[in-house]
Amino acid sequence: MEKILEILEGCCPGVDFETETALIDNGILESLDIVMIVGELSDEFGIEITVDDLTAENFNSAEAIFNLVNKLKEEE
Amino acid sequence: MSVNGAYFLLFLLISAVFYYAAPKKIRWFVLLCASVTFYLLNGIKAGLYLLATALFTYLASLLLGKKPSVADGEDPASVKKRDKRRKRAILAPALIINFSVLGVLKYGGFFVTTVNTLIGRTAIPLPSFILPLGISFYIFQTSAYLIDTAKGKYPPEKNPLKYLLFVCWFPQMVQGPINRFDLLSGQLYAGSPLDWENIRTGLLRMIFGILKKAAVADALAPFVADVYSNYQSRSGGVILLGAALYCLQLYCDFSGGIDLLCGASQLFGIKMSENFRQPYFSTSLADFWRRWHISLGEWMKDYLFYPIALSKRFAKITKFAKKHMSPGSAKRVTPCIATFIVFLAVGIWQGPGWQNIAYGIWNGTLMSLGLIWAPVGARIRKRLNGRTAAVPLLIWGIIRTNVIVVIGRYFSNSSSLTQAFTMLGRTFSFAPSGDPKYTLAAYFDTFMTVRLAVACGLLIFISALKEKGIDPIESFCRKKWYVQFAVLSVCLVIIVIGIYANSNYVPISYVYENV
Repeated sequence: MEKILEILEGCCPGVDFETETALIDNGILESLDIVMIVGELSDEFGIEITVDDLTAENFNSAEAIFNLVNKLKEEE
Repeated sequence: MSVNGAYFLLFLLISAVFYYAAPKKIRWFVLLCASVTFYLLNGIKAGLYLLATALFTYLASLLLGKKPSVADGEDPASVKKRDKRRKRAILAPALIINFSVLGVLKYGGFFVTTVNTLIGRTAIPLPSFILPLGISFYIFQTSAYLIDTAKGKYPPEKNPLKYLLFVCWFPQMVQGPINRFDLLSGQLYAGSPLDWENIRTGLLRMIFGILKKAAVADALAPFVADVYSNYQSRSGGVILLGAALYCLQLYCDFSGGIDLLCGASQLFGIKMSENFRQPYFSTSLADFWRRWHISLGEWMKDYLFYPIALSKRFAKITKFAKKHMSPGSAKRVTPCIATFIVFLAVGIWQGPGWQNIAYGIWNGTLMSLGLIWAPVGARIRKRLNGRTAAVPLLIWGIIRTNVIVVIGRYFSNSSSLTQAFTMLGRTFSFAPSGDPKYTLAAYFDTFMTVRLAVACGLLIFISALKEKGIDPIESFCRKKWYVQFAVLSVCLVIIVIGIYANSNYVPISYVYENV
């Protein structure tokens, strides 16, 4: 989780990823941010995040992103 | 049939009467009949193109939605893989064919002209295709439907007539918005009950749309058209004014049309996707594109930007960038390139011609630079947060964005790249007027200026309300009857004067009607 928070803060400084739970719904993360985050996560954890995974549920909070990464790691 | 004319209002009235008189179960069929009638009134040939697209994408979607056959003992992962390959083998040619129709009809002439120019002779005769009404919109809409069906986002619609209604729902046929199947189809097929609130909201929105179009867009059109036609003899200042007023004209034309047609759709209890969110209040170019032509932006994001940016090829580019650049810069390379490609596509979508490609390059380059600049901007904003400088920074953001947008419109409304550059050159060299008889008063007499000022004042007031999160229609409906009467009277007077006080008034087609 710490690594994920580090990646998120590196891509979008100034966003409170520890408490925010509507990153997509409230328009805090834009498509450009998401692509940067996906690139970093894929690189760091060796997973493949596809367009189908880009849903609000998967990206609304750091925890949701953490769960997505774990799910994809298990599938790998 | 022009959607601005009285015939359209009559058409709406008849359709609404039949719709609400019909049993709920077959109301969708009334909508289909109305939509087909509307489209055929705009041309039989165009109707055939639409029908062909609807039939082709319907059959393709049925193939895409077919469940995979599973052999005894076959591993689920291998079934999934096989099904993915099968769907790709159907989807790719289906999309190519769908977009080829658009490509040939819309860009065939431009392509032939370019080839002939390069060769230096008329090797290929110039084709003359008809451009069916709303072709860009329905091709984009049906392509999104095919991609979503392939992904299993929703099952394909089995009833061909219901699917045809989704494709040709008449309020979306003139200039969009590009509706999504999962958001629109349920409303189309359900058969809405008669709800006076929907009728009232729909009618008010239609009046506002007509006000924008007739009192602002069409009033500015003659001046703007003169500037873009006679740019060689207009002064730099007049050209700048023409480009700036073109932005206002285009906004009132496009969003006015969307208001009119979303209002018309709401008469039947059907809410279409929103296309605008006060774009000229944007504080950055990225913000502008999130507020302008939203349904196209969302389409580009979901079906072009993400697939490109997350492709394996782009992952390789990121890896290469990480080896040769600082980590902060490397992670921005992929989004920058994908953004540039998307805006190039937006430029091409605008229409054939190098000036439109230049328009895409202008926006794509600035958006990409904005992404590179983003960390610096974020640091500045963080430092200024809560201080008095934050407000000037906001105002500066709005001014800077509007300047960028105005410069972009030198390209998008020109008929050639040379014209756009000549106009820019005359503006920035403060070129004097080449026509001593030319005067702005010919276009803006006192009467016209007052009318425009009142309409624009109303427009800014409503936009400011929306920006604050207040629904202007809801707020209007809560006012006393005499306030409502006064506001509606002012609107109607402006519309009527706009149309009838000008003996030369000719209703002008919507700018994006033939895109």
